[in-house]
Amino acid sequence: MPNTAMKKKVLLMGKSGSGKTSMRSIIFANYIARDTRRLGATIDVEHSHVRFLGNLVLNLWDCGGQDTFMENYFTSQRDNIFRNVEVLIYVFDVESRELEKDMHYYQSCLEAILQNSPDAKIFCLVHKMDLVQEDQRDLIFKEREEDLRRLSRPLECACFRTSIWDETLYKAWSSIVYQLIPNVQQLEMNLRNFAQIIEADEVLLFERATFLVISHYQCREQRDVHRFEKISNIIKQFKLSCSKLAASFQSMEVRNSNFAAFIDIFTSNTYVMVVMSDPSIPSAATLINIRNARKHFEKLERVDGPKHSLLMR
Amino acid sequence: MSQVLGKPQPEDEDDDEEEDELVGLADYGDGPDSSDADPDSGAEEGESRKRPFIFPRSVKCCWCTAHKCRSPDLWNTSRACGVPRGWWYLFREGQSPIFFLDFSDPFSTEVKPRILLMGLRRSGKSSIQKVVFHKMSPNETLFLESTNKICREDVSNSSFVNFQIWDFPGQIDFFDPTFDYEMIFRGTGALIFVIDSQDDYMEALARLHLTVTRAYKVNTDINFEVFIHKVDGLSDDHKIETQRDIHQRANDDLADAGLEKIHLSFYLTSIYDHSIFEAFSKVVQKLIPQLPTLENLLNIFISNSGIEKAFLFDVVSKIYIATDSTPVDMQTYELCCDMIDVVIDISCIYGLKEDGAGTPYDKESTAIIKLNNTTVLYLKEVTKFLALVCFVREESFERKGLIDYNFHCFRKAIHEVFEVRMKVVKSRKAQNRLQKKKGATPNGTPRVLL
Ligand SMILES: Nc1nc2c(ncn2[C@@H]2O[C@H](COP(=O)(O)OP(=O)(O)OP(=O)(O)O)[C@@H](O)[C@H]2O)c(=O)[nH]1
Ligand SMILES: Nc1nc2c(ncn2[C@@H]2O[C@H](COP(=O)(O)OP(=O)(O)O)[C@@H](O)[C@H]2O)c(=O)[nH]1
Ligand SMILES: [Mg+2]
Ligand SMILES: [Mg+2]
Repeated sequence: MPNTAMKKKVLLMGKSGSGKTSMRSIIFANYIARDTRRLGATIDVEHSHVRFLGNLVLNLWDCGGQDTFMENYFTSQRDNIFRNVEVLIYVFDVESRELEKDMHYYQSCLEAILQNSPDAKIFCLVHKMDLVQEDQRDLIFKEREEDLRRLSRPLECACFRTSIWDETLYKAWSSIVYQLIPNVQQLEMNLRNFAQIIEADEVLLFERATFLVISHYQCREQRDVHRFEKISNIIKQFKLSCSKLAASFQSMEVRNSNFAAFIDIFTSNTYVMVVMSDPSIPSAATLINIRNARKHFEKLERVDGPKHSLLMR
Repeated sequence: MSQVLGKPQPEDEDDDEEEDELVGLADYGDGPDSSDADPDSGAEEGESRKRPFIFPRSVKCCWCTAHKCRSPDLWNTSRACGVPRGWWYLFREGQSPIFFLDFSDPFSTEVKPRILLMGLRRSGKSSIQKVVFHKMSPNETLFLESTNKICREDVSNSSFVNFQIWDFPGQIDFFDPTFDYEMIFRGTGALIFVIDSQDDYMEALARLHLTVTRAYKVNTDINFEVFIHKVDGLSDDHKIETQRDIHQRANDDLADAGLEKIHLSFYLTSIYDHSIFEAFSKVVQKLIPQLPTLENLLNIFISNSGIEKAFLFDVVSKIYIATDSTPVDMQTYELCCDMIDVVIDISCIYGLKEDGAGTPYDKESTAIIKLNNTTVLYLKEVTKFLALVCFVREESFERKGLIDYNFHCFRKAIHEVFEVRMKVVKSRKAQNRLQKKKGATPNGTPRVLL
């Protein structure tokens, strides 16, 4: 359905070396964190198109952060860069020694956005958090977040702490893409019905290529609040190990005496994860339920698909 | 038509209570909370955060602060000063203390093989220990300090591998008369000497020679294992050349000393890939007396179940204890390691009780992963510390019932193999306590299979 595709422009900005290309390569191009050490500085703007959930195309503008490029963006390329932006992602290197300059560029960027794309959503990533001592991380992040919020007014920004070395990266990017999915409420409603029908503790929906969590429903309180991004990270890593054997990961079942989890290909653009805790429900039943729900969710994904919700049996 | 392995034994389940003690180790950790129990252990908490349920204990010996447990020239269990079971130390006036980890019970140390990890400063010993036994991610080792902080590291007492790793802070002076290296080498099963291949290794070679000859004098049964380490920085050609050169020089030195009967094994290792786990697997396998039995069991199991390859893994360290006799392909092994990671990680998230109690890996632990090339990876719990990981073709996996039945028999057989060992240990313990304990007679023999 390439002609029905919905294009959304995403700007990635921040000073040189802050980690923009690294993040994008890990999330969208299957890099592992260690590979990013080999990346060179981005010259001017690198465009990439990422098909996401079939009908959504993310148009990523990775804007090289060296001073000469930055100056250029705000002057001669201003219209070109800042027009029609849906999402601005601004990356700050937490260890940067030129905080003032970073903030200055950030504000110039906001100004340009306010002029050209006032409805754009703004995300600030305080990046390379792994370089900060663990007990300092909360404090430093809170400070930065406050500053950024203040400086962003009248625009609103959402702040995340990130590092390519742990799952925080997935949390930030999940939240970002979540903003871009067109029929997300409908998806959630259907996921809830599905979860209740099959008596799952929790159901997660992942985008197939990135393994970002795009929707979830929980019937039972879970202990770990960071579990979504952890699972994205875990499965993505495993997917990469499989590709070393020229194979690709298809499905997984993991259990112990307290739970059973099933991860399986769902629609052509998603994977699903179903978590059960009732030991009396056999695996086969859950697997059949997943299979039966597939068709329905497949329909939902199409832009003009039926707008009714899931009714099973 | 389907042959099965062994005969199902009419034993009852409460057997399992004993099996929990199978390898004579302490329990899995205390649960998730204890990882935070030590508020000021600082950045080294990093890896326990990731797997809080396997490595919850954070150890800080009060030797560093209170000196309560000071007792010169004696080996001490450190329990006296509040450090969990498993830590021993030797304190000598004016020298850095030597700490070592003993995964086994103090009463039975003499029957456990012991692994020493030695090498020059900064050669990578602490990193190896952290990556293999504490799941630290390799890039985090950059922050490890080379000071004598060994007494502050976390303890893993959840591994099947029943040995000790000695990490000597600083250098040992063999000529120091107060230093009883004989006592150390006498109980050693394998001595791993780590050489930094990215550095000039002449000094390391001299040290290796000295260490090996000293150790050999005390104990001729030690396996000498040389890790040519940090090879991630070398090109393939360079690796081979370095190995050849080190091999040559080390053996020449031995020949010059008339000690060519000492055998050194060499491994190219790096913490940045699976080579370190592979090398450790080989070192550990040499120390497992039951290895032939285990291999035999695995061979019988896979040939009767239509399985292509099977590994018996120590879940915590991802060392494989044994595999069947088909050749091991590095990539297959790596995928098994990665599978174990996935299974434990997901179980840590969803597989604990609401209050965080329980263990991620338990009697019901099972996992099935399907790949698009008709391969199925199948993992099952064997003992508290061991898992079987198999590669099965999809069409063979259709007969999962048969595989599971054979597995049941296989599992029983494995338990019996280790039970023999356990009984020996138990009876020794019993003697030590001058107590007779019913049912602890060391009269078990490994059951002959089919
Ligand atoms: N420690 C740490 N290093 C990171 C992290 N993210 C990226 N890096 C490193 O930072 C360096 C620069 O990353 P890039 O992604 O090329 O930076 P960039 O923002 O694209 O830079 P320009 O293209 O010049 O604007 C690389 O060596 C990365 O490995 C992180 O989270 N933690
Ligand atoms: N490139 C590389 N560096 C390593 C490897 N193993 C350890 N290192 C690094 O070597 C340094 C010293 O390691 P450490 O474990 O403290 O050495 P120790 O003094 O022998 O305990 C650390 O910075 C590690 O990150 C490896 O396999 N490859
Ligand atoms: Mg770049
Ligand atoms: Mg060290």
